Amino acid sequence: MKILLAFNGSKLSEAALHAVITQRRPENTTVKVLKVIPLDVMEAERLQAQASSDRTAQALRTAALKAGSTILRDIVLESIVGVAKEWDANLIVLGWHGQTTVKRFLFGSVATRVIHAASCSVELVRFRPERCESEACRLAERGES
Amino acid sequence: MRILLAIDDSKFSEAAVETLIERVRPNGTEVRILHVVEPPPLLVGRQLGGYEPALQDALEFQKQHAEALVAKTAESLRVRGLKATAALELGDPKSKILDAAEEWHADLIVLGSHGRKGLNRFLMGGVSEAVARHACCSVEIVRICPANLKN
Repeated sequence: MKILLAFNGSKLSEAALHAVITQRRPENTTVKVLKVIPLDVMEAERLQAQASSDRTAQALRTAALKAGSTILRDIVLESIVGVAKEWDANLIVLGWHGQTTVKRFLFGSVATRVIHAASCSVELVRFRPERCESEACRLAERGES
Repeated sequence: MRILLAIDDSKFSEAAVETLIERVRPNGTEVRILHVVEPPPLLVGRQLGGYEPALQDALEFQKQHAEALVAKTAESLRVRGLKATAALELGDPKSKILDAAEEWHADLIVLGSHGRKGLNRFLMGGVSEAVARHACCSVEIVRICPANLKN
């Protein structure tokens, strides 16, 4: 099984990670952690993004899954759907941005377009800190702070 | 973990049920199967004072069919060692699914990508989109796609 894990925001990486590891996955499951950053971000931000996706991949490996991380500087929607198609993913796990009304609205539209445009299953993950209690999540959290 | 599995009698729902059975860890997971029966629109006429026995019969038939569907699905989950309950609601599918998820404190809603009727069979269903957009918990939309069929 191939899972594409795409997220924006570090809190969402934990929630998405949690969503991937709480369910039973077939033995040969591979997870591709994809962080898409806009074209106009600063170098520091890019490094931060790289670090957070590496950490997520590391936590997935701790949970005995095969995982790699990718950073793309591109348009969010097209990249997520494009990578999923090209890689033949079975499932896209999408971290859902919902901290403020405006962000919820904006990312909401990206997420809705992803579920329309994707040709595989899509799981939209919402951040709920009280639900995120597994060991790997705690590890990821410690790495984050 | 609490998973709300929203189904109808389409093959898309079947795919969602299959996915769920394969993936869920039996320990500590509760699944609630929900099917929403949409009453025929003309039934509104009855509420306005008219009475149409044939429509009433049609609705009864729909309900029986729905009960059999949720019972069968719940059984297929229980056979695999999952804790499953079944629920049947009457009304608008979108709002009933969202309400049920909120009331029951679901962590995840799982549903098929397409509906049973007309255009929804070809375009992504309005119900799946509305649920994805408005749910307060995570939502998984299961698609029947080449990559998934291979497994």
